[in-house]
Amino acid sequence: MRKYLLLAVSWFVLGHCALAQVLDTTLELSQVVVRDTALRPVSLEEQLVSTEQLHSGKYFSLAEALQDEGLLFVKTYGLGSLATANVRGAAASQTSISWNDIPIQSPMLGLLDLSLLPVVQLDEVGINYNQAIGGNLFLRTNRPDTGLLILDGFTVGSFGQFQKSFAVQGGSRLRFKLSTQLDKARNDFPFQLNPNVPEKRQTNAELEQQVFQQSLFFQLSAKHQFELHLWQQATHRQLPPTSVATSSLAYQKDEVYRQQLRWKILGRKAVWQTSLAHLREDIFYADPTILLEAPSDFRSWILQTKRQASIGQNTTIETSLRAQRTTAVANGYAERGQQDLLYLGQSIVHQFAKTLKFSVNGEAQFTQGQRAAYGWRTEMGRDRADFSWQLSVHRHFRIPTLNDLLWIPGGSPQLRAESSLGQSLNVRKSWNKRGGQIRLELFNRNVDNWIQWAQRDDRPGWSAQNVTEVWSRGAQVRLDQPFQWGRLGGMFRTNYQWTRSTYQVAVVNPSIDAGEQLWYTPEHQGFVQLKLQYEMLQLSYTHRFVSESAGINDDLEGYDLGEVQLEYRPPNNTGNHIFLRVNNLWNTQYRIIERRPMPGQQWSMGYRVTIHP
Amino acid sequence: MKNNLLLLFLLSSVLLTAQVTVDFEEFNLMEGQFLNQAANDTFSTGNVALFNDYNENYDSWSGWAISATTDTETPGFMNQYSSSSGAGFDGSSTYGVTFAFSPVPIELTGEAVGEPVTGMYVNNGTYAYLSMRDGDTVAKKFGGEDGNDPDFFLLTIKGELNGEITDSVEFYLADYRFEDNSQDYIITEWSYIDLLPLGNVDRILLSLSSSDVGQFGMNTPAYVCVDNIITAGTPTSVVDQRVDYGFKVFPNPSTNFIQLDWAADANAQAAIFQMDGRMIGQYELQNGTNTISVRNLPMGSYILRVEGEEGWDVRRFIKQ
Repeated sequence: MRKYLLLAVSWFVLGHCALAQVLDTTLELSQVVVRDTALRPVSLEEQLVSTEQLHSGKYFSLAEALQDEGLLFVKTYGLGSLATANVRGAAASQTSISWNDIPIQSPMLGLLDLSLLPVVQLDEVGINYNQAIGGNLFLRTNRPDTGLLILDGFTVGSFGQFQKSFAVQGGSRLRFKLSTQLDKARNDFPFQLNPNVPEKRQTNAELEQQVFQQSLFFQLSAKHQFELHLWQQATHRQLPPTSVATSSLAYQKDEVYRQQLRWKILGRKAVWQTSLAHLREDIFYADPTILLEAPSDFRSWILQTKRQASIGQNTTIETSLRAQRTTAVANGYAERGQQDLLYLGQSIVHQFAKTLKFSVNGEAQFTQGQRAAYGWRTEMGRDRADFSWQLSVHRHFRIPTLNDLLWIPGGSPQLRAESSLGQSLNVRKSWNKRGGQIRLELFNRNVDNWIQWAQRDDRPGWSAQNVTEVWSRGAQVRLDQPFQWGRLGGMFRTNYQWTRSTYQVAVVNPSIDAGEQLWYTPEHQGFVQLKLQYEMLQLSYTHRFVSESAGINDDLEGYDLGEVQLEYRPPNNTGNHIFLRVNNLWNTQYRIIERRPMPGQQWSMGYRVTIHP
Repeated sequence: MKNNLLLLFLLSSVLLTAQVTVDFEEFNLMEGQFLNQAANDTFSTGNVALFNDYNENYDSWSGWAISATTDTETPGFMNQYSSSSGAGFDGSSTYGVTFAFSPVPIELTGEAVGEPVTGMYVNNGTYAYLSMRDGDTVAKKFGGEDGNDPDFFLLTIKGELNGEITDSVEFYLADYRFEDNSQDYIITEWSYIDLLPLGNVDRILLSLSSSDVGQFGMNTPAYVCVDNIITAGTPTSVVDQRVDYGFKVFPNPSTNFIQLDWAADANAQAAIFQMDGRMIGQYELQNGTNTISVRNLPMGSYILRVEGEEGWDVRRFIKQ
């Protein structure tokens, strides 16, 4: 590890010496432009859920918000159960998830359960498809505007769903944002497996969650900003039986603590941003029926620093460094697991003309006990108001999870990192100022050393192995067409996504044929949405479809879902806000995971008051 | 008629051959105990050898285990050694358990090699039985969501002689394929399987298959319990016989060490087992007084098993 630390220091010192020389030669020729935002790559960061929706109180979790927006496929085990995102045919663990630029998914499983992620404190939820193998799902809590703002409200819904949230933000030099949230649900929805079987009701599915989040933003001086983010939540949820099991008494308790301290220096020549983060998750899974108790926990300390500087008016350079130490404990580990890693990144963005950008990015990660992993990304794009395009070629990696490395039996310390080579092309054409646009996105990605738990003839039992390759390719077409007829306005949106993601190397056990589509990855999905706005009333209908997919035990049928929403929304986001929504309007009986029933028709309604005292 | 007489003659000659019944009782396990770790990777008893692979690092086993556990109520993996009747055949205390995700052999030894195996008793384990009856997080409840799925749990026994398959016998440990669901069943009592149709064999192979199969293979827990394997011949492995070596273990209870006066046999091994059957130490015995440190053992009861050239013997001791 010592050599990596030396390397890191050298990286930073040399990188900045070189940069300083460049700055010295260019300072007199051109004005240095300094931004106080992070370096944005050429590729689009797509906003998945608007801030307004995040704060609307409609969503119990991020999983629900992402499902509602329909741009990502969310794989869920049922209402209130584990949910992960499937991004363009990638495995869930290949999509990195960051909160204010800090990776927060569990290093043990590589996952973050989106069904437990509250949204009230988040201001941005989006994705950059060209970062990490399966993209980077980013969550951001931004500095609030000045002036006191209070949000208070509650939501009730079918199957005992209840949410109470309260948020307050404001301040001037010291700005704050504080929120609390209480979620409760019985989730005892009825379901009918087929017309010949009597209706059943989900059991052992109750959920209770308490969340407390606080962010402080302190402007020490014109040059120095401090941010402190605290996130604490406790969840207790029961784990329902499958549809082919009589009952379940299993439950899981999750306690999550996330803290970040960020120091931002706005220099004359550059912006420095240093973060210290501590992540802690304690999970207690128990199934009294089978006398099983499985506690597990991890702690991560992350020190991350970025330096961003402009050279002249057209070039921006960013150097980043992240050191992370994780310790983890689980019944399946022989002893407390520890993993130290060091990440180095360097980006250069050059603007050739007013709208034409080119960027190159290189990254390396040194992980204790692993081979060094390298990645790079090069992008080019033109961004005009009426037309834009972006082309990206990128290589990324994903290191094995701690469970892949350490779990006994089957963990393999010799596992290599997965690596991918991908290309993407995005084209957008806009035709009016209200936001009418059509977008076409094409992507292609090959992942080598795909990690799969498998059984091989030369090794007894199951073990994690770099056993196959996966080729993902697809297209996404999206149309947004706003309209206005007198006092009636609205928006028509439609989205279609084709994803072909196939194993390229056959595996005997599990049974995988070459050319077979990945499990739980529908080839076709899309939605059509019509929103009508009359003064402060908004009515919308969304119809989405998902094609059939293959599961581990059975194939899953495709399905259509309808959703209708009625909202009373005051102007300028103040005053009383009321909504009523009906999900699964047509009472479709469907499943996303086999043997895991999903709820039929369900409603929710909520009240929010937004006060500017 | 001549053919029938010939068949009767052949059958009689088979039955008249001396038989050895492997009933596992000689392992002398107490109620609730199991052995999942064989001294030399093999449980040798009667005229059969049962392969066992215990992985100390993973605390896992494959092949065969010997069990006297009696839990018929607790579902799940933690109760993987119990038979669904809570005992061996005919209420006996001890029986064999195999994990047969892949085919598992019973090797014949001594005079049984190349002779027919008359038969044996089988039963579901509690883990598999309750999983099929109620379902669990991995496996389905037999009959499925509407009770009509034609599920089955099938034990296939193949005979092998000189590497060639002689024949096979099938036995349904659970069968839900009946038109009339009231006839569906899961075996919970010891059932006899006639293995004479396999002919002369030097080993038999047990494999399990189920209708509940996913991409990761069979979901139904791949366990089956076996008792009273009836082979030809007389016992050849004297090590498999309990003999009274007349040794004492002292002090008992003990704190730091135990002593064992050994005079009976020049070549002997001792092994200490926890009460759950897990072996925690092996020792070569010398003539005279042998001292074994138990300082690092947690307090509790232990079994000391001695294997000499004439057979084996056990003593129980307590660590204070």
